[in-house]
Amino acid sequence: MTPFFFGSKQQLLGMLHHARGRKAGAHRTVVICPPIGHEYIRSHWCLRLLARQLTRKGINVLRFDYRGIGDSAGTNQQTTALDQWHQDVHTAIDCACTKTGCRNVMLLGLRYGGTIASAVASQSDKVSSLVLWEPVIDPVQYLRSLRAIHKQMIDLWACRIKTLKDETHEEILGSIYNRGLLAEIENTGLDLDSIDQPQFIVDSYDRRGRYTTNEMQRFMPTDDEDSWSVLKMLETGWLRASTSRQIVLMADEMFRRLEQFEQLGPYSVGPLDSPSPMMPVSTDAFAPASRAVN
Amino acid sequence: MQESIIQFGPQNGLLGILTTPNESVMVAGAPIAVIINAGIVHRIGPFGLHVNLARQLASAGYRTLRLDLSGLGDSLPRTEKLGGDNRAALDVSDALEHLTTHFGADRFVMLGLCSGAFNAHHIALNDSRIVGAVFIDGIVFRTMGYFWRHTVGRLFTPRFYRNAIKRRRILKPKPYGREDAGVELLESEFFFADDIGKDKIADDLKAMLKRDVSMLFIYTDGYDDVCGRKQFREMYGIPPSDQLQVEYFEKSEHTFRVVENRNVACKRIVDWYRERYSAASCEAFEEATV
Repeated sequence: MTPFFFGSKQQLLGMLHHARGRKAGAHRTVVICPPIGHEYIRSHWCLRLLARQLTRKGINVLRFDYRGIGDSAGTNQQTTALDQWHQDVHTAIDCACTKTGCRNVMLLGLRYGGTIASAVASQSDKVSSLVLWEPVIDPVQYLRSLRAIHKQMIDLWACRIKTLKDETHEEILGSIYNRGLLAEIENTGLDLDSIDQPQFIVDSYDRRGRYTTNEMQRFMPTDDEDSWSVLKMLETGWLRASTSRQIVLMADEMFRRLEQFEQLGPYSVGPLDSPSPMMPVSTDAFAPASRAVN
Repeated sequence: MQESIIQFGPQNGLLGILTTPNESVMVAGAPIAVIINAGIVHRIGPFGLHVNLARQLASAGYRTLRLDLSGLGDSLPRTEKLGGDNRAALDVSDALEHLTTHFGADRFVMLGLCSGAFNAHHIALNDSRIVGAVFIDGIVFRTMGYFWRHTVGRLFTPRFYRNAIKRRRILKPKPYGREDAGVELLESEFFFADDIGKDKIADDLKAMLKRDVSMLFIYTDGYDDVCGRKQFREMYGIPPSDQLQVEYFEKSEHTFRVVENRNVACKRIVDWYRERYSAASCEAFEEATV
């Protein structure tokens, strides 16, 4: 695994997990779009384990943090438009292509990361396919649920407290959001019809009715409990080991089919840093391991 | 300020983010703050507490390393056979070696929340390079004062009954998956060894005071076994002083879920750091050691 900063002013943190095994190749590259807010922290370990499992199937994986979240520069409240997060995903895709030498990538998005990934997939020709894991289908319901847990949390506090809620910002579950961003999130739902790429959707069996499967879209039902909207689980690590294993198998199968239909190659030979046996190693491609933060 | 990724330890498998202040504000000779994981949360800390703290310390002129202990966050697990050694202590020792070799630091301050405070206590006790420590909701013991203030005291608070009824209604236990149960087990505080008693901790603290280690203990109302600043003296018989400061945040939750509470805690720690390691005192220390 290679950690590095990338993007404009090196403001994003990325972790590149190198593919292993005989199937390893530049063309098999996944970019993971994590959730936002407290869900990002809950799922960090799960996504790290998933990335590691994917590398065993010969897949390069880039995990990264959006601006203002995790180790990336800035604060959440500085993000004023959804397009900034979309831009971060585009930057991550370009970075993954440069570092592994692939022509296009598979985007894997969890929760709101899935919604961001689907928006980017409809704009980019560098996305070969999509994996959406419990994506946010209805953003109005999503925000309503987050606000409801926040309200419950504050209501059950040992003493009366108030959190930031003014004309420009609102605090929800430990993160301060710009009102403009919240309005955009509310108005931007998951539009699977606008996506040309093959999609693999992983969600609860109870929500199967929300998807219309066709030859470009596959749905895998899970029996995972919805713990996102439960206050008690707010700080509990989110691990879904068996579902992760299924996703790894399906991602491997999707790459096999994309190869079969020649949707992945020929890939460019750019600057590379993966120790994959198919590619030479160049240390020049490493982005700096430090950056300035305002 | 600048943030750098550093990798160290066995096969460079441990990872941390070093936050360095701008040259213009940097306090020369000040110890580097080392923040370790709270529970299984990765190096950004619960609700990003560690990131906020590191950036605020950098604004005040101090360097901070946010560290993932082995097997947590993005650090690899240690694979060598180590018997009963405390792996957290080994990880931190590797980090300190790295900071000494590459950044010329020879004094450090440990910071940790919950299990991080537990680990920080043992590291600070045994490593003479540690000159200060901030323990947030660390090792505590219930006292008679706790019983009166918390157990009995809340019975006279209407909000206690209101919340108890609401909790029962809203948070009624639901059956949930095996995986969640596994994570709960990980989150439970089994890492606190049973054989640690008040007297042992009091002796440890006295040993650190004798070694001139500066300490700041922060407790929150959300931490189950503590109630009020007084409890510190009740537990250990040591009165708070300039060198050993105790703070109790009665509006805060254990993990600082609310931004305002998080900011208050960060400010308290930064102020403590400024007061203990001012430019003048660091200069005097450097001169004395030369």
